[in-house]
Amino acid sequence: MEILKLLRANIKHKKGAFKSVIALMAIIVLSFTGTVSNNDNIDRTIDEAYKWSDSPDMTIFMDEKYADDKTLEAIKNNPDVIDLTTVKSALCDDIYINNQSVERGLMLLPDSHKLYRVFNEKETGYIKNPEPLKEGEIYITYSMKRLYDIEAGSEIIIDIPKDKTPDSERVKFQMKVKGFIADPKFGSAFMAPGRFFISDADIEKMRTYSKIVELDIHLRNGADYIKVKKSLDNSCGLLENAMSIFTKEECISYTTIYSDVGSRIVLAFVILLLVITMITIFHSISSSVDMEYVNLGVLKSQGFTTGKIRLVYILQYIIAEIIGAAIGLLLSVPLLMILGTLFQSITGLLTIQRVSFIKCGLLSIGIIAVSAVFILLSTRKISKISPVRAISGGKSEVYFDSRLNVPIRKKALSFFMGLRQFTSRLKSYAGILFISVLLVYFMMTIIMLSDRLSGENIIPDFKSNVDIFFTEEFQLNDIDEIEKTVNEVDKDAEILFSSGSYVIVDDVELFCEAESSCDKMYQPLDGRLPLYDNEISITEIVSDMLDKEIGDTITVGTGKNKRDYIVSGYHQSVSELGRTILVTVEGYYKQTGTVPYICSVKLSDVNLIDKLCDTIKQKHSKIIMDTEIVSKSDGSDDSLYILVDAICIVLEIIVFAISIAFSAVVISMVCSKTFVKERTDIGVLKSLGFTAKSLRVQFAFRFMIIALIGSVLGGIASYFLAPPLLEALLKIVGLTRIEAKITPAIFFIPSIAISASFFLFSYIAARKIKKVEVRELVSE
Amino acid sequence: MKKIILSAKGLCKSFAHNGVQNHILSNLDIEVYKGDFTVIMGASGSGKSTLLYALSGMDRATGGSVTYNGEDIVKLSEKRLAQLRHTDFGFIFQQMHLVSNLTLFENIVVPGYLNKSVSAGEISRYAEELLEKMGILGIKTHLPSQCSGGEQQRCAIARALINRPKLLFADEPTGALNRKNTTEVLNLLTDINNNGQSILMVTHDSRAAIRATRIIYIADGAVVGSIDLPRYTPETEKTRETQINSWLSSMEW
Repeated sequence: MEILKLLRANIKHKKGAFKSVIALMAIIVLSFTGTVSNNDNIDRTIDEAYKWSDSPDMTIFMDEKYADDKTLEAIKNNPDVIDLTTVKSALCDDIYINNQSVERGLMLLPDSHKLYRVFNEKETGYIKNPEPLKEGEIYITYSMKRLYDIEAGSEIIIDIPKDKTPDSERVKFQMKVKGFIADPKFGSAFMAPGRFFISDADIEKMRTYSKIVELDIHLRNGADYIKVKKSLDNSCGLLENAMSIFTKEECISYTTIYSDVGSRIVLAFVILLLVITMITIFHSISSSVDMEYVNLGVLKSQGFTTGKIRLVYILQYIIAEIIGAAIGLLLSVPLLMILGTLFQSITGLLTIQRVSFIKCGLLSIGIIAVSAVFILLSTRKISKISPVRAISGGKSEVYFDSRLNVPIRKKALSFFMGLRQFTSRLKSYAGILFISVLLVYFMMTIIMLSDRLSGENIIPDFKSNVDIFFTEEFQLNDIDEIEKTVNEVDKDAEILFSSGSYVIVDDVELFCEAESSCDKMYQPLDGRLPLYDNEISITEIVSDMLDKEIGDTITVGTGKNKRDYIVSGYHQSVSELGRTILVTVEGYYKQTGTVPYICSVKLSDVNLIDKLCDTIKQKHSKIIMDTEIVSKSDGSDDSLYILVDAICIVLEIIVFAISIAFSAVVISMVCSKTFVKERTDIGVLKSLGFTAKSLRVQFAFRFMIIALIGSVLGGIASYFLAPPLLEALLKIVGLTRIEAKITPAIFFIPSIAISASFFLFSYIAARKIKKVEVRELVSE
Repeated sequence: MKKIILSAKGLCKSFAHNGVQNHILSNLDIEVYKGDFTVIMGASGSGKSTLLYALSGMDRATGGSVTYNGEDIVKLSEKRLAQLRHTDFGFIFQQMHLVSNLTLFENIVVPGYLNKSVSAGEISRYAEELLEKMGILGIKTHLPSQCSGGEQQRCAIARALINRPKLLFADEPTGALNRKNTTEVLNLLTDINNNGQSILMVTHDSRAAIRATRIIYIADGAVVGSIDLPRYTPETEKTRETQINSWLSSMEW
């Protein structure tokens, strides 16, 4: 009973601290509930979608000429294959949506192949029995709708060359968007290729010019994808002949790539916020015990045991945490609606919006339990309070702890007074300093991460202006001639010949990229990029998978061909989530007998684009199939880049907003305690002629000084600690080595944000200086 | 003819507690003369400290006016009041209230730095002079916690004098001191008053009151009497003590 009375009195008396803990806990629970539930929702959504679409375990896109009876028979006869469906489709490499070229391979499939569901008009559910498509109608994926801002009824131009001859006439099909579909396997914004669905009649028309088949393979439960691929490669040269092969796992990885990275980041952030909350609670309890020394001594003299008093403290904070957790859980409902809409644009699937109450509730209980132990430890000093000492005058008045006396100067008096407040009580500000370091460190890390994850960095791109496609007549010795012609048009142009396919190395399937100048696409992490045809560069992920290092020999297999390469260096690539190897086009030619199929040209002057296209076609008509203008500007204007950048910005905003909200609560809490401690000094200074405004500025200055010091330390921490954190977070996308680049923007944006918020919130918290009369301050 | 430096008319001060108004000062009139060592006396709870705070602008009166240099300080803005505190008024507290993380020297120069018309060097020189006068120059780098109560109070007096105030307010400046320190502080105050400094001091100690040139007695928030005295000299101490005690008895002290 007496504990309840004390508890009620304590909560009433320390409303500020009580409310602050509620706010901190609400932010933490909201952050992790939003993240965990959103991840669960995406998993549920994908799981459900794979069930209703009966999605195959392996999807292979192949030129129809390779999908002969022998190949199909070999697939069917594989012991791990339980079902094979062949879908006749068409490939279109040129699609124009809203006059904008779509930079990704798109497969056109007949709508009778029901691997999709159609979104209703409000995009809140799927239509139960959609009408079959009529001629001229097309279903496009929901993620494309968002990427290209398409509405139902919009027109889409599909541009297909009549044949694979140079200067082939092109056939244009004008299609009307009937609706938007959820395609579990290829509907994600990050999946290339994408699939569009058209009527059976239209498919037939398009197949006159482009014949592709989609092979949908269902495997027996527990089948090893790698082994199946290897065995199919041996039996029918699958890896060499297929345009692309996607397993269910790979598709899910690409669909969830950003939610996975995002959730790792937010969860790391939540851990940091928890540390900050614990420091704040420790500071609050410590100050409270100091200030309540006499009262606590009186309570002890009246028979209250140390245990009972500590229990009151624990209950007080736990109650606040429980309320905060409940608020956080409730607020996660609207947050998940926002996240659901955002991630619906990425997954292209109707996202389930459900709060994982049980999981997050249990996590909250875990956090509260940990914090209870922490609070128990923080209240240890209550046991040292002596009733006699407390009653006979309380604790020593000397509360400054440092001899680091920065001189007080007449000029910038407020600043120096603030600095003195900080330097003379360093210990009591250590917690705040640590908090500012953590916040700045994480904010800087998040900008670095955002920079690494930006569209241009995550999607490897030569940033070409013109892509040149070759006919089968093209030979390796034509490379020099093409280069000569390009340099005649623009002597400073950069040229890159590329090729590639899936290969098998030590039973592991990897994508082998072949480039004429590897250094134009990648930077070596260690060693150097391949220069000679017997050299290979691998990613660190591949290095771990194969247990190979620089100088080791790797045997690459394509079909029945096998060739040895020496590892010359490491590079990193997000392509295939880092499961790639890199060779020269000469090496690749010796391995597969295949020459580059594309030449990318980056011009020093974009005005030369048309001249280059004309000259190339004119001079090399036999070997040039087509030229394509990729970009008429220096930067990339790919919609996917814009989406990736938008996600990064959202992530930055979330982290910044939470950091500032957190600093607001923490600063308000610390300031009110500091204010109570220093109110006499403040009153005295006011009585000496300091205005309320100058005292508030003085009060706030020290917190800004702390934030500035925290910024420098946070910058140093970011330099050393951001790379390992980012590497841990981004390994799943293939980035294993992050260089700590602290640019002025990376340093100043978080530093200014935290310093300004520390100053602002402490200035606001010190408003009592203005409201209270001098006498009240002095004698209170 | 003495010149009035500060006057109050119809001064009221009340506090509200649990919805009940407590009137501490009611319709009080008072005049303080330039160059005087004015002492306000009264029983505990008579409102003398409240009066001192209201007159010095540390606390706002709830009614009436306090005129200083032609201005009603009750109506002054916060900024102007602050300015008045560091240009015209000095204040000595019973509990010294030195800023705990500043040295004695810094405690004195900081209010001086608020005065824009005086250079930092000049303030430092004057602070040293005051420290010497107060006998604490040797411990100027000490923090308040390292000093005795008397040393702290002497520092507080020096701080109150740094801006050469027109009027020095003192709220029971010897209340927290032992006998020896009390005498030292009172000697200092007497000395500076003899040099022309106007002082308004609140005390309930008759030994302190004998230093006054004028004593005002208040009871229940109103002035009930006053007495003018010649300047203090050590030789007249006994006579003054008898005179004041007799007068205080007539005030029902």
